[in-house]
Amino acid sequence: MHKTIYMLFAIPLVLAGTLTSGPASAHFVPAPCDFITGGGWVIGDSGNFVNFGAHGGCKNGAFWGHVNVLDHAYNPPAHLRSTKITGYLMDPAFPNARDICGEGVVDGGAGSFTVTFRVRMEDNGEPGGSDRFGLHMSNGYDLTTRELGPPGPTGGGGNIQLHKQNPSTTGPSPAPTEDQMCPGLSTP
Amino acid sequence: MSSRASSFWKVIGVAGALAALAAWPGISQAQLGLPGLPPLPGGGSGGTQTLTGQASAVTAVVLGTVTSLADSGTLVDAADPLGTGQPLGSIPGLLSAEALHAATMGWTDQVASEASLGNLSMTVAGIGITATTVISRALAVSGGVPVGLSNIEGLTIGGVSVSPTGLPNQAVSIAGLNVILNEQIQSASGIVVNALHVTDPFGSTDVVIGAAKAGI
Repeated sequence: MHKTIYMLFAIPLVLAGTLTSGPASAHFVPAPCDFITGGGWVIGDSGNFVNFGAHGGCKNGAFWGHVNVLDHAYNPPAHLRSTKITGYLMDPAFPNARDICGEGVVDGGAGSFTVTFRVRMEDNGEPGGSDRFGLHMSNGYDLTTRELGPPGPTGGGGNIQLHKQNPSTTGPSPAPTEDQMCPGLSTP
Repeated sequence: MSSRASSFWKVIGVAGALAALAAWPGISQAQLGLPGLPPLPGGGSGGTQTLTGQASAVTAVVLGTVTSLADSGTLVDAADPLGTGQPLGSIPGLLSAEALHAATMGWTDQVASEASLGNLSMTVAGIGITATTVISRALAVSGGVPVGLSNIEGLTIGGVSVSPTGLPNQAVSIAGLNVILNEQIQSASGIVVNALHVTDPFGSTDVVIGAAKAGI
């Protein structure tokens, strides 16, 4: 049992090490800062449901948000609960996307352990089927960014909303670098 | 207009709105925004903007006991967005859900609130209700008509698949359960959106899944 659980996490770790292309560049904190929110589900690589609910942005000179993700590939399902948000970034190549980085706890699956994570959320309009979600964690878990829909055997559901900038909510000054916000974690 | 006079008219507005809603045929207390979220204050008649925002993934009243899961709290400042979330949530004997989240954010000219959860499994009066995703959103923009939106996917009630029309206040009655999909309660100053509102025929259980409130 423990060997099986170990393999479930070890295999993604190896794959992540093989596939990741190193830290991306030119990702930065949007200024003025904005917010992204969303909830829904995507289909994982093994056909499993991955449910998520998340929001992020800036607040009072810091980063703000919560990220919760639950992956049914594991038994019991493994779930990530953020405990600290360390970054909120935009990627000029994907202006509708924001990355939320932070620290969290994973429970279920292989037990309970701490991780750092990077979530990508992308708002591509209504009703949400073209929105995208992905998650990369420091233990090697890599759910590549994928569309939420359409609902069905190969698609999930939900909706992600990128909200407008809010000059009254500010991030850290000076803005940290991508590697300071998301150390060692590339975009999922 | 002075702030004191503005407050006076707001008080009058609140009283008027509540009176109008209370007199509306067939509108129960639950439909006034309870138990999901408190009703909105009445519309202001000028002066400084008052932001109103809140969201909760679940609010349930069972035999008078109120339980909330993933409640953002009440927005008070445009510089202070509020949010919360939890990977799993349950109310024993009533429901379980995953990836719950709720957030409310304000700007000087608008308020947006959102709540969502996944993999809902609920039993009310012996009737099972499931949904893969439930999301509610509320947006109030100064000078504009407040907007509400609900996404309910994979909904079944009593084992029967139910397709939301997308229209506000879609009523469904199955085996005595009163269910309202995309419940929207408008007032002069904003909107309350309850994605899924279920009440049992005995009046002992009142559950709102995905409540979002925004007013300005």
